Amino acid sequence: MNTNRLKSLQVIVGNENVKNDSGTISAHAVDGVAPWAVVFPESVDQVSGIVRLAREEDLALVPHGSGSKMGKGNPPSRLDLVVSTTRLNRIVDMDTANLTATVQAGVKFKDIQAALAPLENRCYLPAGTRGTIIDQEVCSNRENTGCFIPMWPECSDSATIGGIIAANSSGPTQLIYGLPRDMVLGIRYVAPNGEIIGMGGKTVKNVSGYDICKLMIGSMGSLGMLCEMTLRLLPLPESLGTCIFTFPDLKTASDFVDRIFQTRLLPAAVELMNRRACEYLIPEQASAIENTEYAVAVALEGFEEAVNRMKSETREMALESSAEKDFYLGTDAHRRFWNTYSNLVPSLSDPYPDTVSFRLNYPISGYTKVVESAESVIKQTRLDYLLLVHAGSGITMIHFPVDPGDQGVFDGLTSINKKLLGTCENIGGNMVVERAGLSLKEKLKVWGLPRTDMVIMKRIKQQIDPSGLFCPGRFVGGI
Amino acid sequence: MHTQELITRLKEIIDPDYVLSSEMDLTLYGYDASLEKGRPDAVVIPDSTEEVSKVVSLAHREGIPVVARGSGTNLSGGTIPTKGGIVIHFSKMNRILEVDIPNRCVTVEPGVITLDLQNQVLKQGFIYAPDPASQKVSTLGGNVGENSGGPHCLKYGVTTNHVLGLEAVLDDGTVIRTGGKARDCPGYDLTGLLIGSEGTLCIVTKMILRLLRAPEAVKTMLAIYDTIEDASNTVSAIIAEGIVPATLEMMDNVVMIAVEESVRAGYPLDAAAVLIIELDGMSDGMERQTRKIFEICKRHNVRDIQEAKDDAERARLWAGRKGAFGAVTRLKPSYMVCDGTVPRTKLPEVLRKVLETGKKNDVLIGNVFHAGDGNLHPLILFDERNKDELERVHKVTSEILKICADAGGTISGEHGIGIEKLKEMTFVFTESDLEAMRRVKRAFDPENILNPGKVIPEQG
Repeated sequence: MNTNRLKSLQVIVGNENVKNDSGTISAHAVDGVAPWAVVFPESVDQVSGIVRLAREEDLALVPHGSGSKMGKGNPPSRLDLVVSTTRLNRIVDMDTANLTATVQAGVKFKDIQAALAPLENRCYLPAGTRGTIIDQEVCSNRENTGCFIPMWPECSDSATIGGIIAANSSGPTQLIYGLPRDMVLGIRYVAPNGEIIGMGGKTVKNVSGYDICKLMIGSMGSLGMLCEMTLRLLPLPESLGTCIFTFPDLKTASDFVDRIFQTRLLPAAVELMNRRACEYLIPEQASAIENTEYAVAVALEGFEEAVNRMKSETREMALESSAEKDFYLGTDAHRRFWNTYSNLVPSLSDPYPDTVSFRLNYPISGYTKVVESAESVIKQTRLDYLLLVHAGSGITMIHFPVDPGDQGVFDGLTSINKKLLGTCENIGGNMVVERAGLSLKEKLKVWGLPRTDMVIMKRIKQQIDPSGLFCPGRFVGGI
Repeated sequence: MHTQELITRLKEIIDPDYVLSSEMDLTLYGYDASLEKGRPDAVVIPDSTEEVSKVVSLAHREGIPVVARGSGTNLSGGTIPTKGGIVIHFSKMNRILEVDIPNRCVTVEPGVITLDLQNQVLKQGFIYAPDPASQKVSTLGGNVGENSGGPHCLKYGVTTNHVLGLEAVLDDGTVIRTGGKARDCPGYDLTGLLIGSEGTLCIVTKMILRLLRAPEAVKTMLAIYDTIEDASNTVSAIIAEGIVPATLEMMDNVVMIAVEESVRAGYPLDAAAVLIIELDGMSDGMERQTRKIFEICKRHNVRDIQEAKDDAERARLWAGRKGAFGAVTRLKPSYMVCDGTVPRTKLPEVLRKVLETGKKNDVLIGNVFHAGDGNLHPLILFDERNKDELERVHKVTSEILKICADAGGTISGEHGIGIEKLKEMTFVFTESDLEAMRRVKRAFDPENILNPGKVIPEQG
């Protein structure tokens, strides 16, 4: 049976682009469920061919980019094919005069940022993170300034743009730039019936028909396979810098954070972190942060005069809030700091491959309540944890570096999951498990608590993917 | 169901004084700011989500169309009850329920007038950014239904970028909540999908909107040009230099003349175009940006450029732009406003083609548009009583949208599809694309009772 299907797949993408050797298959297993083949299409048409075959043969499939988001979601209820975007790696159009870029799903985020910068020292990301050079026709008429995709999502070293958009993955700079949903102007995807669908375009304003882009962004591959997207760009900020202040406790740190939001300053990110997070992010300051409980990093991006003023005014406010130490990171150090920040989980995963991450969302003023609750709940378990708050955006990330195979921590993590979900729910929020080992996941509320809109989400899934071919069982409410 | 019975049943749900069915009422609720007309069977003015839910649930059982309506300022026929049925008018659900500064949001009912909310939050130092030209009368519910834009979209985005959550009544009367004060909720982005769906997927009954700090400083400039190309090229050049102004608005000679006659904004009558440029944000660095913009304008042969010294001058520079749609009726009694949008750099080429089309078909076209985001608003001026002219107007409108679509743009930037642009949907969408939209419609409204016949053309 599978021999015939393999042949059909080979006809679509070429013999060498269908793999079913045990190495490839186990590397692409989704939450422990292995596909019987991995396909590597290089065009939207090929993706369409694969999906049409899947539809005829009732094959379940999961799209796959670099794999950085594969820990998210429930295990698939069934799985036949993993469709990799690795070869969908062309930058289709870079129209910097219109501030748009169109790219295929498999292009790495860092490669787009590098390609948008006219000079290495004008790139939004730090030098040295530039990846492979891609064949491209860069039709830029911007000579001096360069531009960038205004986001810094998790795992920026490895993440593909398709994965970032499919997960609506965001980072600390959402404070000023917004979420991926605000930056995607157009998409091309293959629907579960195999049809190639185009929505949106190259304009910021577009109200022609339903905004299907929004439906697809963050849908985690459950409604079709994203193949191409047009993103909104911004000119590179003239000046970049980051102030970091340390505080003796949560009260003083949050006092400072609240002060910032009382002003009309426009920082790009305000990040509250516990000491363990600081130790990973600024290891060179290890001795200076020894007695610190919390630190706040304020990212400044904009015109030089504005950055200078924010630098001096945030410093004044921090001192008034009893800040203990302060560091200023100039352009290069700023880029390295936030790059380290973005790639915190992959670097943690090196010693701790079973790292567990929770993502809490709540109304923005609820952050102190959430952090206090996290502190007290986690203290009871004696688990090591890194806590990072996107202040002003209502998001807190908590990472637990867990020793491989240590099942002794499961009870603690399960109880933390339950209690913090309760805290978030009480103030109108929710909590998602971003990554956890399979056996732990079974005990956790992976997608938090369902809400009143679940009824319509199910109806949408049913209409668009009636046979449940795309990522079956992976998404919210078992969609 | 017989109309009389329907009205009796509606009066059991809603205060009978707010169930309208007189000849005059049905005529008044049969049109909007577009050129189309229709006629409902009844108009209801509910006071709560519960009442809306009951009305929709009745309509669902009886298979009666339901059309939600705010102030009726929409320009594409989206609120016209073309298939009769019940019009739900939100004028009584017009409460600002909560201003939550610590969480940077407000909760409002759909009938709140856009400008009323903006004025109220501004007192506390905040803005609700989307500012459609009709903000004095348009409702926030209508803005959400149409995903309205406005002059400040270049920097701030459109309505969808400023809505955090919705309460909505589904086709069968079920009430759901999407999104919320907590951002980035797990699950499908239903809020994003519903915004701009023109009341065809559900009826929104509450909205949580995002507030932003009012900018510390604003700088408004007015640049006058002898050719429209120079003005358009200035727009692209400013952005290429790394400056993203809050606004880049343009008007051509036809509109300037009309504006001068009505509001006297001080525009020279012989110039080809004026450009309003506005910067906002922190005050630091703004002087330098202003000087840079002056230089760019000079490089592109600006005739004259001035900068507003205070709020009064700023208001004067804006008066002309805000009054433009009203002013053109001095030239002809009716106008049709197009809403094509193109990538910014295509503006000079597209404008030229638009004017050629007008000349070829012998209709007068004035241009006023959001140049920064490539959103054109050619105003086709005519006399509705002249049937031959009206026919040519419809032809030119369609041709203009084709020009925009062919230039890599789209057929609506902020006014929506409604019924007026159904035919033109195929300029930008394939049958597969449209079918993908129909699936969404079927997921929400399988019986097709919510604003039927709008947005998506029926299967060809």
